[in-house]
Amino acid sequence: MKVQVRNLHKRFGKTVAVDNFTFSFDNGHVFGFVGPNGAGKTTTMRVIATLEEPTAGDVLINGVSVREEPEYARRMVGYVPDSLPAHNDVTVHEYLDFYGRAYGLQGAKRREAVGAVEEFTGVTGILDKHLKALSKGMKQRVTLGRALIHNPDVLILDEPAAGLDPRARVELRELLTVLATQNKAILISSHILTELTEICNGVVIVERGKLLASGTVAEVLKMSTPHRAFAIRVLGEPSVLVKELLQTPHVVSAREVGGEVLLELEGELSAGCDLLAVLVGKGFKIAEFKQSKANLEDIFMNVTKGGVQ
Amino acid sequence: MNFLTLSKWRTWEPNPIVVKELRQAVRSWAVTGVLLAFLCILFLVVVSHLLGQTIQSNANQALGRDIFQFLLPILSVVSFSFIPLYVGGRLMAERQEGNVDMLYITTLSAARIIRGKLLCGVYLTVLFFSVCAPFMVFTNLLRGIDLPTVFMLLVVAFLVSILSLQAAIFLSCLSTSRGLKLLVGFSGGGVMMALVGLMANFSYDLLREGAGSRLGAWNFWGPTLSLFFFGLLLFGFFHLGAIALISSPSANRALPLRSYVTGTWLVTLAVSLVWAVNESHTGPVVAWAAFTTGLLVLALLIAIAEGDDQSVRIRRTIPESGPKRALAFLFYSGTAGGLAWTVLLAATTIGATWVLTQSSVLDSMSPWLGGGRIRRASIKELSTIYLSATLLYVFAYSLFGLVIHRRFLAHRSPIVAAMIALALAALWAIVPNLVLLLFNKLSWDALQDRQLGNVFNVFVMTNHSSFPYHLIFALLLATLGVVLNLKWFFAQRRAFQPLPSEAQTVTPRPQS
Repeated sequence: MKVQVRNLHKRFGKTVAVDNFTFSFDNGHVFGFVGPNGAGKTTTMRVIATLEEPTAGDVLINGVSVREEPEYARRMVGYVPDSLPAHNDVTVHEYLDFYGRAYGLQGAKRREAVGAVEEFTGVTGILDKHLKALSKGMKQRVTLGRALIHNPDVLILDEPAAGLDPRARVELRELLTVLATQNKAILISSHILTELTEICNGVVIVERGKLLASGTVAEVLKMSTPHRAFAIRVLGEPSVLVKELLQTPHVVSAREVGGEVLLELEGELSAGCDLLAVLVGKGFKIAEFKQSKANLEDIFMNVTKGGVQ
Repeated sequence: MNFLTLSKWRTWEPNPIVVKELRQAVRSWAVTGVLLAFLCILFLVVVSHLLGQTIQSNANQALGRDIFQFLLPILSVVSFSFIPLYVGGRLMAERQEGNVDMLYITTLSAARIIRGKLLCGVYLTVLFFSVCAPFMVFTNLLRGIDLPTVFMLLVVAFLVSILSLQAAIFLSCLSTSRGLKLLVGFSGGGVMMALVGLMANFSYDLLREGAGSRLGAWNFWGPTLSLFFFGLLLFGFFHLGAIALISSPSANRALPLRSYVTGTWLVTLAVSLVWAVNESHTGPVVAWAAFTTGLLVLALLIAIAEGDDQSVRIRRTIPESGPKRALAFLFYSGTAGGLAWTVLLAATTIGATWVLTQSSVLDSMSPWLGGGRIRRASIKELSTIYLSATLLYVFAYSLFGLVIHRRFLAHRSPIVAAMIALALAALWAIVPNLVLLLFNKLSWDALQDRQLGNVFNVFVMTNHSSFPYHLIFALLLATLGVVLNLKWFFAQRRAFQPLPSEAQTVTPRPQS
């Protein structure tokens, strides 16, 4: 199963919401879809979920075009929108049961699927409650259950953690981690980048309808920060070390931040080892020397310019 | 019935939409509230009549009929307006972009969704009818009305309410702006109220004479069955139209609808011919032509709103051979093909009407079908001109709508072309009269006078000698429209080609 977004364009009147997006993600991948408001995230997700028709370009899910064969693509996609249902005349069980029927599940197969989803999302204690009476976290679980009822291979989640309390967020993250281990291809958008860092192994960064970067976290990191970053804790005055580093070959930058010295170095990992040897040789008492791992937040800040539309 | 069908019957499950809609309807304050209010009103009407009778000295020999004449409009209002509004309103809300239910990304087919909505409406209609039926049957005990009449009127009211329901579902599926939806809603409401009035009028006529005495006569069953037949065909048009509207844009949405209209055209022509011979009158042929013209006007507006782009999915099914491809061009989704199909059908309709009403074809057919000498309808000499002028005007507006859309609003949805065509018709009807109003010259006579270019004027004009002017002007307008669209049309015709195998980027459909 592979999701391929190919030269996707979407216009609303004169506004270009999505301008030539091309990226792909595979089974077992959790891709974070990040960008400021109005960047085209929701529109792209709605196109993948067959809710919107692209102006140009296409999305192929295991080779099936969402544009040409939406009815078939739908069997492989589960979509969690950014808004939650609030019916006061439907209970949780009835809601999930309806979607089981709507996805063509019949009889015992449907009862089994609905039961499994209710158990997985942890809503078994609230099955007879009306949707309107549920908390946001519980509604989010029901919506996730709805998207999973037909056991799709691709899961599209639009801001699933928005408005949830810390406990609900942690629980949602745990559910997504389990889903990722079930070999599903997951695309998730969120403004809380630190949360995505923990579960994503890939990232798509967009801004003002333009795709800025996409790929695995390592690939995007390499693209956004071409130099290796290290953090050094030294016994003694860090400013002396900074002065020394700035005169050392291959060191692109060095600055003191909170008692640590952060530096950017050209070259491979071995260049870091060589630098450490040089510093020790020069008599610096190095207490800690580590390579800084950039998170999604760093990547996002490096790649985007802060524009909205 | 074989074993396979029997085994499927064991696993049969109701339409999910029906299950969901009925679950929500029984918990809805709107449905239960209206049902209770309906019950109370029926009860009050009957009780107030009975109380009124007890204090009168003369016994009313037709009390049942009097009460029935109150009950039927109440039932009509609820079943022609409330239920279609309830079902249509819910469907419209589900079709909105921000709706969270995401019904349209499940694997439910468009046909199942429409059938589910319709069935839910039918169940609700049956519920309201079952509440009203005991009161209506009770009126039979109070004299003045016979049971066949009660039954007949209930059947008619039920059929009209199902047609209203299907029309409401069709309108709710239109993907237009909120303003236009409101306009359509108000117009639909007006039509429903008119239906209530017609129903009351029809029941008044039937109640005076009773249905029992008419049941054996052809002059009752002929028009009744014909109306039922036309209603059924209209129902089918709305049903298939609604399915087409919510189907995937990449699907060949026009094919079922155009096939249906073509089939309807043939069947209604045959029925009207038989009826004309049976009645020895050309009236049924004129009625057929008027019905077909209405249907073609609607089909023309739908055709120009389809757009030019043909999906890979459609192109994959375009036949290779020339003649088959030419036929497919008429029936496949696409504005150019839709225009060609409508023009072909419209020309055949006008030609057939002219031949059947003006020549002696029907006279020669009559003995063969066992009929007598054919009498001509009083409007025979005008019917062809009326319909030709109407179709030519609508065709011209549509062609201008297409040109304006293509030249100035190409980035907008193709539905804008149909809206421009409608706006042109409206402007041409309103602006000249506004000018007359400004110069204080607007009068009823002025409205009935010749106003070339105004399609509505064709129907209100009193001076029949001016009709040919309308026809010539409409023909000139349509010719200008054709000239402006000719290059585009031939480009579309040339582009209607099967997809080359090397260009197929999409993998074959997965097996279900």
